[in-house]
Amino acid sequence: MLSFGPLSFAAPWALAGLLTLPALWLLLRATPPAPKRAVFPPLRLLRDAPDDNETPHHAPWWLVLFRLLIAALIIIGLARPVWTPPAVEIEDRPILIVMDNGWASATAWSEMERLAARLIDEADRDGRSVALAVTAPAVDAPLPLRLDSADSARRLLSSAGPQPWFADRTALAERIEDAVSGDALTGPLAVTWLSNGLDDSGARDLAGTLNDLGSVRVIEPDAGRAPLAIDAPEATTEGLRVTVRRAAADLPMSVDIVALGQDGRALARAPAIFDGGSGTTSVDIALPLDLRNRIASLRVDARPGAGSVRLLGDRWQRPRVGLIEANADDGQPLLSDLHYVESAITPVSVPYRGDLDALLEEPPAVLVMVDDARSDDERISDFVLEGGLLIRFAGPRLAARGDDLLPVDLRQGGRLLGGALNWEEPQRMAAFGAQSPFAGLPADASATIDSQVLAEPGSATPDRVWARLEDGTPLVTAQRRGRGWIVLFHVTAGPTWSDLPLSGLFPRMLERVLGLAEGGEVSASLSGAWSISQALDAGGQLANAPVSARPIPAETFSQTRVSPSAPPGLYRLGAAVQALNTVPADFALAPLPRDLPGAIFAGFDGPRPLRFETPLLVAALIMMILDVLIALGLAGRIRLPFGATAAAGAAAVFLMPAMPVADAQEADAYVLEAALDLRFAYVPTGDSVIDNRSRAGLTGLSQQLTRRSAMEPGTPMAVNPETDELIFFPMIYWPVERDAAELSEEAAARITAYLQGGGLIIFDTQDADVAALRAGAPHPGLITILDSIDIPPLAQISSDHVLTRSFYLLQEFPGRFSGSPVWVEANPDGASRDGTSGVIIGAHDWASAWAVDENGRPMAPVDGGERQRELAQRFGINVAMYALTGNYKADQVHIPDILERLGQ
Amino acid sequence: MARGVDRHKEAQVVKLRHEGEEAAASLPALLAEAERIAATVAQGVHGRRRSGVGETFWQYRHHRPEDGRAAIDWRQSARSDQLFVRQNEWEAANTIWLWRDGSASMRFASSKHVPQKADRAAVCQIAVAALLTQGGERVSVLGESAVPRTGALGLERTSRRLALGPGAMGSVEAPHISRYGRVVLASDFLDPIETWHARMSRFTAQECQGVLLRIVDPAEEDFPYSGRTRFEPAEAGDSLLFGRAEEARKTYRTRWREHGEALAELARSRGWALVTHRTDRPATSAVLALYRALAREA
Repeated sequence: MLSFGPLSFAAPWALAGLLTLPALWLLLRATPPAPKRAVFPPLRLLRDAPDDNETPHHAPWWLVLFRLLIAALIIIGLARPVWTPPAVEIEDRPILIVMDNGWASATAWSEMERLAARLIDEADRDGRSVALAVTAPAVDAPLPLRLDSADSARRLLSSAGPQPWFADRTALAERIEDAVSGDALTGPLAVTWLSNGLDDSGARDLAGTLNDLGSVRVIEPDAGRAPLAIDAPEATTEGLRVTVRRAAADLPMSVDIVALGQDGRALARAPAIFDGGSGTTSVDIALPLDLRNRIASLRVDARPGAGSVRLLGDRWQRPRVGLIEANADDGQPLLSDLHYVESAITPVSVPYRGDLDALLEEPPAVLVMVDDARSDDERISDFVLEGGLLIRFAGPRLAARGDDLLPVDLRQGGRLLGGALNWEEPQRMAAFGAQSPFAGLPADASATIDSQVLAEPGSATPDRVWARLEDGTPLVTAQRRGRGWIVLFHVTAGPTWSDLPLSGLFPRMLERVLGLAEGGEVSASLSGAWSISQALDAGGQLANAPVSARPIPAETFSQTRVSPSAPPGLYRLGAAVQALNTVPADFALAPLPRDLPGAIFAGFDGPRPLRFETPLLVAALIMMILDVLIALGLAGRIRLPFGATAAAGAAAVFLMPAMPVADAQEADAYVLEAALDLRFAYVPTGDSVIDNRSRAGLTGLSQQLTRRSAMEPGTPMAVNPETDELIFFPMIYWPVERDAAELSEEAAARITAYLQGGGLIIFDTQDADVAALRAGAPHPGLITILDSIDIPPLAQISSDHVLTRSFYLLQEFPGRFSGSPVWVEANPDGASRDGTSGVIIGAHDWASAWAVDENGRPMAPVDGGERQRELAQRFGINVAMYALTGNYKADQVHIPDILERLGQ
Repeated sequence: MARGVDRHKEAQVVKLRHEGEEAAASLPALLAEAERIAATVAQGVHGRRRSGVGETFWQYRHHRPEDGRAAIDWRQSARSDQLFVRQNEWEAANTIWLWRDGSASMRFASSKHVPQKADRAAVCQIAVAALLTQGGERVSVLGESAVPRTGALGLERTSRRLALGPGAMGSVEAPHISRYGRVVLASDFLDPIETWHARMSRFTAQECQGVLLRIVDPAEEDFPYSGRTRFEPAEAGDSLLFGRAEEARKTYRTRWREHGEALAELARSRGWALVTHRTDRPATSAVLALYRALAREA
């Protein structure tokens, strides 16, 4: 390898070709370009004209130089030059690439793959051998690890991909040790570990093993691609709380959590924000119960990866509610307390009736106990402690004697309000407090409470009281007990004590309470095996299960960690569906420790040797194409865009992009064109269809004006308020698109000045046909534009507005469409413009109605036929007159005539 | 296939005729002149409503002393006391014969931006024909139609022949033309002056007068070529290779000017007018000059 300082050549002998350049120079000079051919009729006159035909003809010097440059570029390119910055060490050891490809690498995988490919390419260029190893267990048995050619490493890399389970670094460390002892890997090696940035039990083992082979460079994904894990959600009364974890980093980060339904629709979205230095964050998602029941998975938006997905299985579907069957059956099922509760719960959940034994066999999420069914069975207490929700209703029995399963202590006897022998009026409910789960529900003013059980004042602390009567006594109390809840309604579940169960409020209160339930525990028996129905792939998408998946015995399911044989996904046993998620609950993510043995944490983008044979050869190729063009141009076969002389040709090749534009002259031309004739203008939108229509519309209007009135406008012009001066135009037609861009400050100032100076702008949203679909919402494009312009209040054109009589007598203002309102300034008298409105805003698509083609034929159909087109033209003429004459026709002088004509 | 060719030719006729009429239409002054001529000119071989050379009686007028004795019409004078002179009406042949050179050199255009010389010649002549027919004159294409025609149909036929006709040199060398005819010859006149001398003498023998319309391509006059250039003739023949065409420019331009002067001299000596027209100029200018020449002649 020949080298000059940092510049070296991999194939220095090719440089000998440079010696041939002088010979080439002579050769090229001696070869004249092919003559131009020209047919020339007066050839007779040309005969025997003097010519130095005999002297050898030279190619122009610049062409020879150009061709020599091509030759030199090719020769230097073939010598394979390499520019090696002084800081780069020349690596000559074989390389070992270790890639983490567990779930945590999913987001960063493409970057890791790119880096690995670059490493392999570099090794390939230097002829070093490469070994590639991945940490996650694969579905198939891994190939034996050994140093091999770059091509086989590329094949390995292309077949490797992130897996939806955890990386097993210990196993890889063992494989590497096996390979070393089997002489398949021999040090020293240059080891690069493309890690996922997470610590685990095997990290230290692997680092130690790698360190024995050579220096270890560890590369971590940047913060934006660091892995995230969603924890199991927690139910709240409003919805649910989602916890997201990351390896703690200094930078704050914000991600979106999306709740997806079974059909893949997003049901809710909430931003989760990590503070700097924090590794965990929670976000509350407010969702009504019936929507929450439909959630199938939670995802971190825009973060593909199995860890960023939390499948919910059916645990979160509609919590099962058990209604404890009452002991005393009074034979009137439709009047029983249970009937009212069941009716109220059915819309949002699945109530089951049964006695306690039957219900607890398959524990529901919620137990409802009415007064008739009261029991202080220990199993109920256990049920609550384990996370169940117990909803109780008071009644005569509870009033007589309390028990343990109560959120507050009760006074004996209860309270009777109203009635024949009582002075007290029946009580109404007070508004719900802000802390109450019922907050936001309107208290039903018509529901009156006749009787209730009373809490002992001391025990009814404000956090336990969810609803009160107007006099402050608690109506609903609740208490957290163990992992569960006890909620007590201080009235009966039927209408005996109060009107509450008859009101619409009752089911909504129950719905809020049910929101606390976590869904039914998995009720399948412990026998049998869960088999996978849909697997989560590494990208976090549900897909078919891999062939490696095996059924999981029911008794070990809760302890199962994901692996190739137990991939994450939805598992089914009988009718029950359960989710096995990649990241177990409460799994903390820790960053890779910095003190791994022998590891150097390095960025990847250091200085690298630059090879530029390819750019050189490409440049030579481009120049050769240019050369052909020049040769053809010299021979007169093609007309070159630049001048005929050689120097100009060469200069133009290099200077073409920097052509100066005669701005000032152009601006002058614009001003002259706009000012020397009366013209209408339109604002181009960039959409050629609309722009052509605007132009044709104004052309048609101009023609009609010329035909019917004394006004003879010239050809319309396009003006761009961002760059052009507007003051020359009496009237500007402005079609407004929905996605119209915001105006710059300069343009807004220009438009405001134009309006103040007496100009008239017609804003046409051209959508009267679909305007109804906006349902009263303003046109988004119009909002964008008008936002920055100073527009006074608007009103519809009144029946005595000047626009209705400035030329024709009109009462409607149709364009292609008709019927939608047309707006002008409400009180133009206040303006400085002599009482004329500066804007006309409508949606009638007037341009289409006015538009004519070159032959003067109408271009677009009009809703109401020719009559409407005529009216549209009349309106256009009125507007033009209005623009030019202002309030002239408002003058009272004409009133008698107009009245006379209106009289018939 | 034949139909396709026809259609193409048809389009060519229409295009040239359109251009020609356009060139004529843009000459309001000429039109006025055409009207004026039309008002004074009858069709065919007609009297010019003034006394002159002719065979038809025009008027008797009083004898004036300068008339001489032989001029007196004794028969008329005998009927009264005064002497009368008999005058005949001046009769003139008012057919205009048009000819457009169709040789290969006329099929030359040095760039896309200028028309072929033959086309431009046809345009000019069609324009003149349009003006003449408006004025009631009769036009005919030399060598291709024996019968002079007038009116819209005549113009139509004439235009077609001017646009598509062969324009054979034989029609000029042996013209079938009546005496005192007026002729418009459009060509590039690149043949040697002696050749044209011989051709023109036939017209002179018939006492024809006319105009030479010399069509020049800008490249022929300016000789913009430079560098290594191979010049090829329009007809079959040897080509000429120049190593540095710019060196021949001066000589060529001198020869070209001499040729032009000789041509002008030839025209003047025969009493003809020479109108030189470059194809990069608008046809109107040529039409104007042509018409002036014809009007002056009349």
